[in-house]
Amino acid sequence: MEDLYNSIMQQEVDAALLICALVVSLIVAFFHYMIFTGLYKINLGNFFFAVYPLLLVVLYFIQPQFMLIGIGGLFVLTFPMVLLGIIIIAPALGIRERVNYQNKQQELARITNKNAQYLKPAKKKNWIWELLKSLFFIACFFGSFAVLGFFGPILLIVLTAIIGKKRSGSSLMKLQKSLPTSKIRSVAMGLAEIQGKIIIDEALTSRVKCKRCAGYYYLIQEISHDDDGKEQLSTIHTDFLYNPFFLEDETGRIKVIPDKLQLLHFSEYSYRSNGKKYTEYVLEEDDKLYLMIGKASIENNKPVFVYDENKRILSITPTTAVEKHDQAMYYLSKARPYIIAFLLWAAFILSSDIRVTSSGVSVSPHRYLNKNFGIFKNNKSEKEEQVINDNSDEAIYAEPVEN
Amino acid sequence: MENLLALLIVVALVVALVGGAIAIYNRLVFLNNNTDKAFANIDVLLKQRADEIPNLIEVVKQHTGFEQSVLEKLTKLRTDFLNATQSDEKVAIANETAGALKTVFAVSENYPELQSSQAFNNLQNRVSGIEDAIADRRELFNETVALYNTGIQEFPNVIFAGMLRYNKRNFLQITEQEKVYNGVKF
Repeated sequence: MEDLYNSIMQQEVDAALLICALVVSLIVAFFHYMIFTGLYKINLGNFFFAVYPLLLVVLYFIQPQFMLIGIGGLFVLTFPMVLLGIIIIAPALGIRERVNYQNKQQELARITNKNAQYLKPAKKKNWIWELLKSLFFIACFFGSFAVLGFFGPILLIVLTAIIGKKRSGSSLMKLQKSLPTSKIRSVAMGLAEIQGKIIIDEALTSRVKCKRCAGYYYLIQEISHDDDGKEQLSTIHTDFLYNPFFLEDETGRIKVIPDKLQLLHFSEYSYRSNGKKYTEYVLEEDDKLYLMIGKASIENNKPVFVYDENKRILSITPTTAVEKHDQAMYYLSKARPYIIAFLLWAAFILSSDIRVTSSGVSVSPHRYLNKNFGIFKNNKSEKEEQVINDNSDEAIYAEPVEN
Repeated sequence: MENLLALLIVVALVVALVGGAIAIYNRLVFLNNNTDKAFANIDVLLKQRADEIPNLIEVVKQHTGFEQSVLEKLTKLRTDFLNATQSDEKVAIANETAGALKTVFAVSENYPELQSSQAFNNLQNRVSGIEDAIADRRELFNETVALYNTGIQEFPNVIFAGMLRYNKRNFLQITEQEKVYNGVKF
């Protein structure tokens, strides 16, 4: 470092070099401007292009050679700025923007909803927490790769899939697997699952198709396109209105009080106009069978079906959607052990040290497993290992893991 | 650094396993409690039916000549049911009560005055409705038991079921007494 400093200080710096340095500083300023505005989302004024040349001129008058250190420093600074921007700043800003957008949408949906009192208060996300979670995942991804080779990231993905699987799916789909379907005439008080046809009590008219219905969920979305031309929809208005209705099976009917009712997998009716998409989901009286999970209760000495505060559920879905879901889950559950076994085996092979020599094929597990776990420990001494490496000209194919 | 990362992976693995274990435990507890609830829901209807017996006896008594022994048997069965504590005992008495009630309604066809009584008809409809509901809930109980039995026998649930000492439960089946049809006795 000292040698570099000394050699720079011995350089002769004249006015021509200063002009060249000023031109280069403008190019560097242009790159930095792009980094600041593109990655860091900091809008710099045009005066920024004057900062670097001015700095170099000042350095030149202090000591001409300082100008060389200055231009070199500015050029080298570009790389850490880009790395920092790509790895930390841009993802952080992206997450912050997304979280703020989601919070605004939730708030908008709550405010514009006529039945807002039935909605759960929107839980605001914290963008710093979201960023930390993302960074933790990235660290685990690269960390697992460093420790276990290919085996690590695949193990991580499998684990994420297992944990994610528990969170996916609605309460209705999970509960319907554990709850038998009650006949409506004999439905017992408390959490229950019933099945039947929708019978309208007081009819409403839906917003898009003007259908006679017991209720509807209506939303307006603004259509926009991203840089790649991919369509994006952002919800600008949601609205729902449900009247009490009946669910009827072959044994009787029960009145459904639709406060906090959730519609799942209903057919969508929509149209587009003036850059907006208008969509509705309708509770209509048709020949379809619907499955409901909620709480059977008594109101005015008559049984009613209401929102279950304990399980936080009053959901309705077409029976066909449940059948499709169960069928998909059945095939997935059959395939899951084979997929996991295949991934683990593939990861083990990819992360192992495979050598094909004239004496045969040798497979030794990854160095970490080799070092830390008894069952993988290699009995060969380091000396023997060295001999094998020395004879590696015999190897037809060798893909050693970093040693 | 490698040890730290290995520790993180082990922690992630443990979290996944513990999360899975909690989910299985919760599902098994839900299934177990739901089975108890399904049986208790039958009990509620049996109690409702037992509560209708004094009203029925009161209405029938007003019509002289009705077989006293049938009514006495019904009263005794009601008392026995309300005093019974064991599930099996309750089920047995309830089945006997169902037979006795059928007899009362069959015999009532011989008494046109009783048949034309509004109060009697209301009671008959009510008891009949409860009987239908009991049949539905027996069916529901059997479905609940089927889900529970399947739940505790699936892998890896079977390990937790063993630890929780959750055993297979029996379905409500038609008893030998119910299978025998003795005809209506007068």
